[in-house]
Amino acid sequence: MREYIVKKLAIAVIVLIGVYTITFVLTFMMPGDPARVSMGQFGNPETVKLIRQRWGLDRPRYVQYIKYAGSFLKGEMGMSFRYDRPVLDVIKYRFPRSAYLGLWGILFSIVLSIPLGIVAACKQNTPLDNAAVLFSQIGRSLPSFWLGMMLIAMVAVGLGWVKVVPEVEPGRLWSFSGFFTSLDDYILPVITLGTGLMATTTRMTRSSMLEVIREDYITLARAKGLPERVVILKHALRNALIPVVTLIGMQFLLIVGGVIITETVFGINGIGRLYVTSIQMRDYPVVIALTLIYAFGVVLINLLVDLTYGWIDPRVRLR
Amino acid sequence: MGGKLLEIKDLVVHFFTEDGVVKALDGVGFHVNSEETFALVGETGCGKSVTMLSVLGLIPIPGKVINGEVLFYDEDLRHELGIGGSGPVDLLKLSPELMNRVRGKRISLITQDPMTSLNPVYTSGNQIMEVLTTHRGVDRRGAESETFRLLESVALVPPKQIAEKYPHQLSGGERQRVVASISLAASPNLIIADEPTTNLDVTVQARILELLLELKERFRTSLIMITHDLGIVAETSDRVGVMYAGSVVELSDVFALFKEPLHPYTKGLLEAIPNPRKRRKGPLKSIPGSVPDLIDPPEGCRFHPRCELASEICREDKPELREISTGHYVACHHV
Repeated sequence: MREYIVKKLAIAVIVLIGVYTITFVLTFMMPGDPARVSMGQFGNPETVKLIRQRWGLDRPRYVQYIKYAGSFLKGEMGMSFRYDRPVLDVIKYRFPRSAYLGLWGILFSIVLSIPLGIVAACKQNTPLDNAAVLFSQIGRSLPSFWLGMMLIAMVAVGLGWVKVVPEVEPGRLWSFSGFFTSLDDYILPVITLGTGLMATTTRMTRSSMLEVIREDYITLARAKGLPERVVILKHALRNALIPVVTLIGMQFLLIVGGVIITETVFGINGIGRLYVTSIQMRDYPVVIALTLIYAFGVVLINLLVDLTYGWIDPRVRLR
Repeated sequence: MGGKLLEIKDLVVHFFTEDGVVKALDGVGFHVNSEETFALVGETGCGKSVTMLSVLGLIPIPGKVINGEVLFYDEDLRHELGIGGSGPVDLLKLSPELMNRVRGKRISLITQDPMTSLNPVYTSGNQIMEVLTTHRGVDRRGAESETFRLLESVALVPPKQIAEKYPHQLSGGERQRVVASISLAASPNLIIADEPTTNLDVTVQARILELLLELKERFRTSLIMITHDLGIVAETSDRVGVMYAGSVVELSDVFALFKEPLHPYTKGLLEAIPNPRKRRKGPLKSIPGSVPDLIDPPEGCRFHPRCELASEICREDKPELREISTGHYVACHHV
């Protein structure tokens, strides 16, 4: 077990070096010069040259490659061109909001979709099931930017129940009580982000449950005289969750795209928006840092999914 | 051998599928005595398994019991379930909650395929123990020692190690033994074994059959053996019911059936068994035609399109089971 985790993390280091190299090459292949972008169309060529010198852009590529790598190893992740501050500071300020939004989006999805999927499967072809299927079909078809704007228009502006733009301090979000109370502010972004996820997970849970409840071991569990609750929650659910865990793991990764859209719609100053503006402004250090963080997240989530498999299904448990 | 334990009367089960109504059972009736082995024989799709699933109240959707009774003769059962009255209990009339107290406790099931009948994510011990804690009201520790005892009784040793294993760590024969110990856990009056050896290696089959018979004697239960293998019938059972296309066509004790089969279908089945000791002239006999479509079954006797003896009456009138000699019933107009 420990050996497995260590091995995975060792692989992660290689992955990160690869991702760093590719991102480095790609960002510098992007057309556009950060110095020119920052000075605007009519910037003084002399000033642009000075800026290039200051950011080290006049040095050979391989020197820059090593210099960035060095600053990552030191942990400060270089200096942001745009903010003129260490990248780490820039990210540290925004990350809590995005992580909060992302985590709640997925929690919202899991908490609602799995029970809904179970109930729909157990009551297959009843009005309840049809409603769940219809709901998940609609949820999947709604683009999140549209849903977000509708929620703002109707719930925030129309009914005035919540603020349009969440105002909670990033520091409070991850305190024990703040984690729950801040949801008041974040409820609309969370719904916007979570609805699509929830629809997919509901569908997956339902179809996976439907498959499992036809298995022989479910017939045997019923023949044992176990109450229906035990048959479903103990015997069927755990088996049905195996593909759902894969899906949720993937959602953790795909959610970055959703976070970018949601943050833009709700004006949340988070990682997603930082990513987009950094690319626009050719703020290479930030782009590279965010890509690396994302890559590390992918490795970590995959590891967690693997461990969850082992916990759910003894057949894939590691010796 | 005692009196009646289970009696199925005129059981009609239909499946309401999108293609039409599948008339799976068309008036099935037979009884099982206590402490006997009753074999239910027939081709795939003749309704053997559906009959047994209706006894357990586990017919899968979209199946429905249209008519009939499943009577369970046990004086204590009414008292145990807290229902008044007297006489046998009609299991089809019990509420799902009460039926849960019959399933596993009074009637248990051994499923067909040991590879798929155990839940892959729980240890074998866990799957035995839950029967004990559900039906016998024992605590965890009591359930554990009882589980070890059960595993020993199906010759799985050392029990502690087996109990900690997951199904994928056991062989097919071992899994079927675990399923057998599950079926015994609450000491039921009746065990239904649905083709318990079909999916096992031939070498293991005989040992599992022996084990089932031995357990049946030791725990003094009745056993319903569902099979399509007449060899198993001959070796294991006391009485036999032969099913064809949703009804019982012949009912007899095992000796009379093999010595003097009455129904043309039973005769056909017996003639279709190769006998290595007899020199055969020509090819092995087979029953012409194939199993009818149960959405649109033949009128009258469902066997008539494949029957040599078929006449006018067979096409119009469904024959009832008639007693020809003591305990030997047949549903045929020409006997």
